[in-house]
Amino acid sequence: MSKQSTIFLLFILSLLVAPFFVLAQQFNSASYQVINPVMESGNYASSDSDNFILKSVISQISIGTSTATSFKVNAGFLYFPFVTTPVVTATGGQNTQVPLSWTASSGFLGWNVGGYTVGQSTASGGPYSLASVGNVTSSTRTGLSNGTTYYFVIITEDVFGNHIATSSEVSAAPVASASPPPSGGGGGGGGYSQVAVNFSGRAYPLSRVTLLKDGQIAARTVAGPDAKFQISLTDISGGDYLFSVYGEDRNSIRSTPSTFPVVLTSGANTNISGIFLAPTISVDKSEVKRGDNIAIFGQSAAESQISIIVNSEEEHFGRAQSDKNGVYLYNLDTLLLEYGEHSVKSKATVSNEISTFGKSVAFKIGTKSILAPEPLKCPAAGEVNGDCRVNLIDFSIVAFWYKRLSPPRSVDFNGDGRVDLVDFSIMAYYWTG
Amino acid sequence: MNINFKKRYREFLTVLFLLALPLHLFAVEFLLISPNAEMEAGSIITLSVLLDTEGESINAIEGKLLISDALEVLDINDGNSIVNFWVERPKIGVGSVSFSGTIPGGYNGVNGFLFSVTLTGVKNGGADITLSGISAFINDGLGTKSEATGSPYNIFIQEGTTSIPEITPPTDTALPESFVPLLSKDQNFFDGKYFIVFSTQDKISGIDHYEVAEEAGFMSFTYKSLPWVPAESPYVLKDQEQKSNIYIKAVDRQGNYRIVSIPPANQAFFYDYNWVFITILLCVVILYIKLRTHEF
Repeated sequence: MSKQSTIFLLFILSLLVAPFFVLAQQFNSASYQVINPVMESGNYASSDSDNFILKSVISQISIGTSTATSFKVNAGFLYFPFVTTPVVTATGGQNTQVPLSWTASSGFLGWNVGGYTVGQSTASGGPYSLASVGNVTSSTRTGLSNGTTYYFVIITEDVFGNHIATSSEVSAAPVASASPPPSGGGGGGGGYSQVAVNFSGRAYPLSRVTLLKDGQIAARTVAGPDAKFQISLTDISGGDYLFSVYGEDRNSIRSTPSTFPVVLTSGANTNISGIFLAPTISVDKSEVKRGDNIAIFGQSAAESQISIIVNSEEEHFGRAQSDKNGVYLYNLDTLLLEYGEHSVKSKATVSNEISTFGKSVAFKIGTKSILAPEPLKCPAAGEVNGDCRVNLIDFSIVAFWYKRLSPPRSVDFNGDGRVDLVDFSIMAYYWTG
Repeated sequence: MNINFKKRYREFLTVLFLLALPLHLFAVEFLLISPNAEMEAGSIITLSVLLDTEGESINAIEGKLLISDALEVLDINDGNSIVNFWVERPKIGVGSVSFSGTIPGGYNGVNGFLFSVTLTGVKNGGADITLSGISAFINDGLGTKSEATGSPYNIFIQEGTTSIPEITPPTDTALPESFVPLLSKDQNFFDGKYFIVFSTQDKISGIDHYEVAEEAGFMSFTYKSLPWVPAESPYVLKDQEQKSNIYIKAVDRQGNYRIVSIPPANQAFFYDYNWVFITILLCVVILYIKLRTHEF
């Protein structure tokens, strides 16, 4: 290759690679200058002795913190890297095997998921024997004893193999191979293997929890005072299912649904644990005079740590603690924020379980403060017949207008004058069952 | 000079390839999968249409399968599909199969089964199955379209028989999934008449059809004698006075069925047969009076 060609190729390659490099910014004002702040993901440095080992503390205090008896100084730029905990499904397998599947963990702000390890034990709570399975979301554990209950956890690893999140424990017992189900079935009563599925997790204290099976309401329950819930479904055949769970907080505001595809094996019961609904969130002002406080509040599991992220040009982070009713409140000083549009979202952590982020709520920093309207209790879109739900009735009405001329505005959610798959996508997002 | 041009051309192609890489990495992929790429004419092959969302949560999909005239579609199975509600359920057409549907809550995964087609070869030689007009929408509440790709599938058909083979349906003894029909009425639709909506799935052979029966009186337990009619959701009720029990039967492709019912909102029995109750009540009153007279 000639020099010219080499230079040409290198030039093009440098253009391609350029977007992947992030240059440190400089922040200046009349009174201070900050040059090249460096953000490193996580605290991978470990300390150990004969008695302890400290690895990867995910918290504010791990990022250059100084303390004194009367105050705490957080050095540098604060950030809160975290990774969501997987929701694990264990099916009571056959012939010394138990199939496991789990939802993928999502890493934020420096955490990148590199793979998973399966922890296995015959005693609840461990100790677990660990087996790395790579960056996959399913694994079949083999060589087990039929009739023995096994307990499993899924441990999320970062790219260096550090353990950064651990799921809730789930149990299953393999059984000896079942005899084939009797034939028949025609006439609505034939023999077939029924499957039971058990769901468990955290919502909000005393909140109503709804379980959707393939988009239709399959069960409802009320969470306990500790926000924990459990739902069992029976009379299900083996196959692929899409389950969704959502909760409604004390103000009837619905959570973001937690959705997971599950493969049910005929003749074997399945346990799905570690469901952790994201917190609900509201703000007290739609527009805030810069310098005034804005109250950010919602509900989550009781006495959980709430992380709040304000999405601005520069992200801001805050922490709050929910009370015994799961209610949290965070007052944000808007002096930190620039004029313009912003949004805020939150997630919860309790007992080493971490939820996903919930919905984002928008607000504006301006020259005056305007109270926010009451949060919507009905879906913002997708609802056609006025019953405050988005379900098969609305779907049928919208489907009636699919690709027809001049549909009514009530079924044309994006207002483009026609009903097409975009409208169905909007409806599917707001689906309540 | 010519060599120099070739070099430049190769470099240009390399750069184009590198530029295209990031686009490809984040595209939702429709996959056509079959255990065989070769078949004999007159034999059967099953081709599955799968979805790999590449880490994105997808809640609506659409597209069309274009099938070479060297192949004939014998059957379509959407049992066990990740699509919960079909807007356009895949049906056997001439040379193509259109489909569109939604997944409430979104699907994020690899190898999400959409449906499968059973094909037979009718001409020797190469036959292509391609995807056209494919779209996938992100579960973000805005109807944002994701990049979508799909590669064609090529089948080589060798000489074989010319007869159309019989297809053996999958063994299925399970009933269709349980479901709850919903009754509704809206002034803007169906002339403000009452209608019901229903939908379920059969995870093995798929739903074949639905039937509806409306009958006044006590709830029937002899379902066979009910006046069943083939029906699709939404179904406008014949009895707009809501005096009838409504029965909905979901039948899978193996004939297994599940029946669910909605009781009448207005108990027709008490409306239509109130003279019976009045007569009985009168008899009871007369009997009571006579007994009292007799006692005293």
